[in-house]
Amino acid sequence: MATTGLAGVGVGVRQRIAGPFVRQAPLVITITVVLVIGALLSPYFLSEANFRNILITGAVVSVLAVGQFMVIVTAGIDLSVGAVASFSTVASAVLMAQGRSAWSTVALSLLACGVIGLVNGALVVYARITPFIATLGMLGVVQGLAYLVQGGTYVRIENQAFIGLFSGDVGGVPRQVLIFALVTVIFAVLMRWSTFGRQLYAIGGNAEAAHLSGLPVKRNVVAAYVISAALASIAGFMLAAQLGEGSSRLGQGLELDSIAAAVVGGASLFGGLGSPAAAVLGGLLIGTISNIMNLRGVAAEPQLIIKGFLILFAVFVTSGKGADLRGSLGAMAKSVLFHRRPLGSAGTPATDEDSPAVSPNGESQPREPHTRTSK
Amino acid sequence: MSSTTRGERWTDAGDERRADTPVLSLRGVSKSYAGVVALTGVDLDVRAGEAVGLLGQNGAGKSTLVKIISGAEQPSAGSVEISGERVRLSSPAVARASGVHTIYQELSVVPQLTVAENVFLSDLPRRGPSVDWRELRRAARETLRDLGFEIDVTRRVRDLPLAQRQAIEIAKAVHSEAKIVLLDEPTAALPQPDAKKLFALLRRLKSEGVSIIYVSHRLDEVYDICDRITILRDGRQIATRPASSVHQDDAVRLMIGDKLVGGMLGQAASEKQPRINPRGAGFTAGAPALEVHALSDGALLENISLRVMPGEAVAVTGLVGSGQAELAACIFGGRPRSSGEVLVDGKPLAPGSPRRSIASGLGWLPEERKLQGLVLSMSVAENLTLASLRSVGMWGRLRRRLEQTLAETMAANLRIKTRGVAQRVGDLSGGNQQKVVFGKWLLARSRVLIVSEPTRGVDVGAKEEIYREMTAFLAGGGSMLVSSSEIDEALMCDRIYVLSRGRIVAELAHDDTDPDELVSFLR
Repeated sequence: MATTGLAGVGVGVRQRIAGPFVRQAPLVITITVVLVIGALLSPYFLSEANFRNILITGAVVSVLAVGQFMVIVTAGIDLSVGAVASFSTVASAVLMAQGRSAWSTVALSLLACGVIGLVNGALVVYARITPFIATLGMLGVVQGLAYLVQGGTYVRIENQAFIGLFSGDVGGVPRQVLIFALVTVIFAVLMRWSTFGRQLYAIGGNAEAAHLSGLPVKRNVVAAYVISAALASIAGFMLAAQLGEGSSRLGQGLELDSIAAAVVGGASLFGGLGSPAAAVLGGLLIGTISNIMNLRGVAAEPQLIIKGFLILFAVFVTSGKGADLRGSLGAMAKSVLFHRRPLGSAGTPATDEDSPAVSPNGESQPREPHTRTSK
Repeated sequence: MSSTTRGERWTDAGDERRADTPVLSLRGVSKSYAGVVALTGVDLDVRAGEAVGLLGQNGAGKSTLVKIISGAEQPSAGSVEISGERVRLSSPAVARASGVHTIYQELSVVPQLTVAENVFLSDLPRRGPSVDWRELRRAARETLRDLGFEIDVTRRVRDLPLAQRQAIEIAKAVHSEAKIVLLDEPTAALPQPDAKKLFALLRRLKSEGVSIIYVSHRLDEVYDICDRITILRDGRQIATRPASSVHQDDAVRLMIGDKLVGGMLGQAASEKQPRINPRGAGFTAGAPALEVHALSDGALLENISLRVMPGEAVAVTGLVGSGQAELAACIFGGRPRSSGEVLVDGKPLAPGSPRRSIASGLGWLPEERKLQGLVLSMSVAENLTLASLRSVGMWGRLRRRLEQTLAETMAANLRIKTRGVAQRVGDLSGGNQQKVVFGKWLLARSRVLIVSEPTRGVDVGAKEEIYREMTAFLAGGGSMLVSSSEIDEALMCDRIYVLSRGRIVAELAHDDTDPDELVSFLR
């Protein structure tokens, strides 16, 4: 080992402080670049009103992306979040039309959506249906349910208390922004500072090893789907308050936006990697790029194409073949920040004398022939 | 058949093919992976209608040899000849075209297709642009009937028992006019009566002039079917002899090597293997730390009973595939058991719940540590605390600083070589990964450890260190069940249970274990 003793400790401390930033370096750099480009392309881009616009638009997707991340980190996927958000708008509108108060409406809608999440989780864990299919089926069921409950095209929301809870400003800051910031912080802390978060990473990284280490795998996976559905419900509240109505169409397609956000934020669909904050940053990055394109008057169709390529590129860099590329970029960032080790040595095993069990690029090497020592 | 023309021909041997030209011959075949030698200088001749058995322990080079003959890997040196012509088996497809048909343990039938479609998968009979289904069914039925199997060829393969799937694989080989059929552990998952049927089929193939290469850990099977046996050890060809001239016991000795056992065979009884346990003999006091009563798994294990006294190191050994791996998993709860009881400190364990096993003080170092022991994407520290999150956490809050301290202390104690406990565990060497798994159970305060093949895939230096940790664990009052197919590892323990085909066939105490006697139980 090259670094030993005090020098090693020094690097450790520095890394611990700078670690989260270094890990997000590609994302932060990309966002900075996009902001600069935006400023160059449109004088209006850097205005307060425009940022308000970006954040409010991004709030719904961000909250959904956090929930989506909680599922993706377990190596699952939740295609039903858009439908659940729609259902949440409809259920809330109908409950308030029957004269319920804002708070009891919120509680009941959350509960109903939580049950949907429970069903998702049970389908995945106990019925052993792959997450993609289980939540695709539930997408249809919940969407249809929302349509049946609304009994028309949409239901108006007159309850000003409810609208005031999920939209409007507090001290100049939009409520949606406060909510999504709060959600992001709560789940970022949960994933990093709770045993539950650690267990989710372990389950996504290797469910078998997690099970054999005594972690409650089934319970935690179900919990992830419940969280995802509950956050979808909150996203639904924001949509409903913003538009003053509940409709089975409001959340359509949002599941894909939330997946794109998580993936652009570096979550791997194979599980075990990423963070909720990065998922939110990913969503905001996509939102910012759309915003710039809107400002430049780019039509919706070319926008779709650009967004599509962005997602493909992000997955290529995070979990596709481009991961090696990102590894060397990360090493470059590290060597610039820490002046520590030359480029190209990142990712090599720490040990010099032992033969590595896994080569740096993840290919397993053949087992060495047995060597016997006489003892 | 257009065999040799499709394999790239290097030299032209002409047409002087004599009847005794081997169908397959390997000359000085060697293979190394990234500098690690897996096989050196293997010479092998297989004649028409002959069955050759390949024997060897894990890591002996059997699977490498199988890969080379089946075309999955290219030899680093040496040559392969088929019917006297040098060929390059550059892919499994080329090997098949050259007449080598390999039947893997994981069969390569397509379960969703019908029997007939599977037999003729590579060349479905056609009538004009479409498949001639009637002809397909007729030909498949005939091929299978010739082999002595009456199978409804319109059934889907996934609905068939394993033995019939194997028959379909063999029918595929026959249909493609294979000259050599290579079988890799064909009976590993096969019930006894079906194995008999398979052997009858293989004999029939032999009588029709097809050569057979049979790879297995199971000696009696190899002796049953093979005319000659080749024994590999440490990547070397130790012997190739007519089966009738090598006694089974001698074959076992050749397989496991004389570096160890040969040196000890005939030694005075006082010169024993060193004990891994520093606490000497006589573990009779008190109740057993671990007790297994009449455990069966409905597949391989049958009526296993054993006990580990407090502070004792007990080995479960046998040739590879005898059931020691399955037994370890069954005891811990990583694999379901069909009957029987496991008790830790006298309290019964819930079957299939590693969580409760761990809570009772049990830990398991699995053989497949990368698949079952570690989360490779997580750090050393995160892996170390994986089984003790409850004590690292407090009301669900992860005390990261405590975790850091615990992990650093453990990494220092176990001398895990890392750039720091934040390093990804997947980047460590095999020996250091094993130490991380060990540390995981130490942090979980396990009192009884089940240790499966603790030094497999670990280099010599790390091996000694892992033994030292095992010794330290025992010195600290822990008890240990060592599941190993390494005889020398078993001989280091206080007591040895010998497994054969899923049953315990002997129980030996360290002090009166004659290695010779132990070897005689292995089969």
